[in-house]
Amino acid sequence: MVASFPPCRHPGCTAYAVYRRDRCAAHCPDRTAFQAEAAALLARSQRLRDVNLSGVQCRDLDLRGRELIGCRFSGSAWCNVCLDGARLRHVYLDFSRVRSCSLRGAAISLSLFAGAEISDSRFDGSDLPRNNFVGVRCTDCSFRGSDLSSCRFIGARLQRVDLQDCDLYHVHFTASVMTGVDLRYCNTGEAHL
Amino acid sequence: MHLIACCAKTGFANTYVVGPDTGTEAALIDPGHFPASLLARIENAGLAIAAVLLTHAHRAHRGGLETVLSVYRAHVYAHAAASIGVPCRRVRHGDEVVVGARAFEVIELPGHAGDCVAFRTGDLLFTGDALLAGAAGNTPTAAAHATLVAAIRERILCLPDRLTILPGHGPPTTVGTERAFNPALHRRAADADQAPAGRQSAARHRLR
Repeated sequence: MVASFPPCRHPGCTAYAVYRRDRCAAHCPDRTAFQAEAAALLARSQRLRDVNLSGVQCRDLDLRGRELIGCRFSGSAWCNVCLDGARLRHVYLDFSRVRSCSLRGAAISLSLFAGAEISDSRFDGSDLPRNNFVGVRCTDCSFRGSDLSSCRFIGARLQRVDLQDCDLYHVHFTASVMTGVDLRYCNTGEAHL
Repeated sequence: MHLIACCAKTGFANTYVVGPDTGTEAALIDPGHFPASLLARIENAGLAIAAVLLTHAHRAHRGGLETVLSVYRAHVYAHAAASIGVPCRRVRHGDEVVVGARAFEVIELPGHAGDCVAFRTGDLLFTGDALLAGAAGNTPTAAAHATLVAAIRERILCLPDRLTILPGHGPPTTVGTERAFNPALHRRAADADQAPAGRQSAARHRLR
C-alpha cells in the first residue's frame, strides 16, 4: 500500500500534512507537541506504515529491528538513533540530517536519502539495494560489506567513507566528489565511476 | 492505493503495479519481465491487471507483455509512435487513461526514444527511461538529449516537489530531488547542445 497524504493547508504550501495534523511540520502551530508525539510514536511502534513524520527531530532513540514501510521523514533530523537490523522500504529520508546513527545489518530498499547530510554513521553489513543517495553529503561513514547494488550517488560528496567489500553492481557515482573513500575489495568494474 | 514494485535481476528494469484500495482493476507499468513472483504478489493483493501502460517500446520494458496478456484480458496503452507487435490503444500528450477508479495522465518525453511517455496518477509519476534518479535517459544524439532535457524542464519540473518519480531503472526519486541535484537538468542549454550522446553525456566524475 502507498498512502495518499493530504496536502498542508497553509496557503501556497505544497508539502504534505504531517501525522494527525492538517499542516506540514514547518506550518504546524503546535510544533513542540508534534515533535513529542512523533518521537513517542516511533519509540512505541514495532511496525510503522504509511505515516508522514517529515520534519521530526529524533535523538537518542533505540529503534533496532523496527519495520518502517511507506513512511515519510523528509527534512528530519536523526541524532544518535539506533536502527540496527531495521527494515525500511519506500521510506523518505530526503534532505534529512543523520548524525551518529547506527544502521548495521539493516535492510533498506527503494528509499530516498537524496540531499541528506549523513555523518559519523554506520551502515555496515546492510542490504541497501536500489536506494537514492543523489546529492547526499556523507562524511565519516561506513558501509563496509553492504549490498549497494543499483543505488545512485550521483552528485554526492563523499568524505572519508568506508565502502570496503561493498557490492557496487550498477551503482552510479557520476558527478560525485570522493575524498578518502575506501573502495578496496569492491566490484568497481561493475559500477559507474 | 496498492503499489507493487518489481525489479528484474538482469538489467534492473523496474515493473510497477498500481491498484486501488478497494476494487480489483490494476494497471501494470512496463512489464519488462513478468515472473511468477510478481503474479503471486498481484494475486495476493486481490488485484487483476486491467491495463498495461508502456512508457516506451524497448524490449527491456515490454519483454513480459505476452505473458501478461496470456494471464489477463488487459488493454495495452502505448504512444502513437510505438511498435510493440500486439494490438494497443494509442496515446498522446495530454490524454488520460482510466483504469478502474484511477486516471493516468499521459506526458510525452521524447529523446531517449521517439515514443517515450510518462504516466502521472495522483502524486506518482512513472517516467520509464526518460528521467531516472539523478540523470536524464540515454539518447542517441546530442539533439535528442537537448529535446529530452527541454521536455523534462517544461513538463516535469513544473510539478510539485513532493511528487514521487518511479523510473524504469534504479531507485525512486522526487521532483524536488531532481530539481535540486540532477546534473543533466542543471547544465546550461548551450552545454546541453554540446553534450555527447549516451552514457558519456553524464558529468564527469571526479576522484581525489
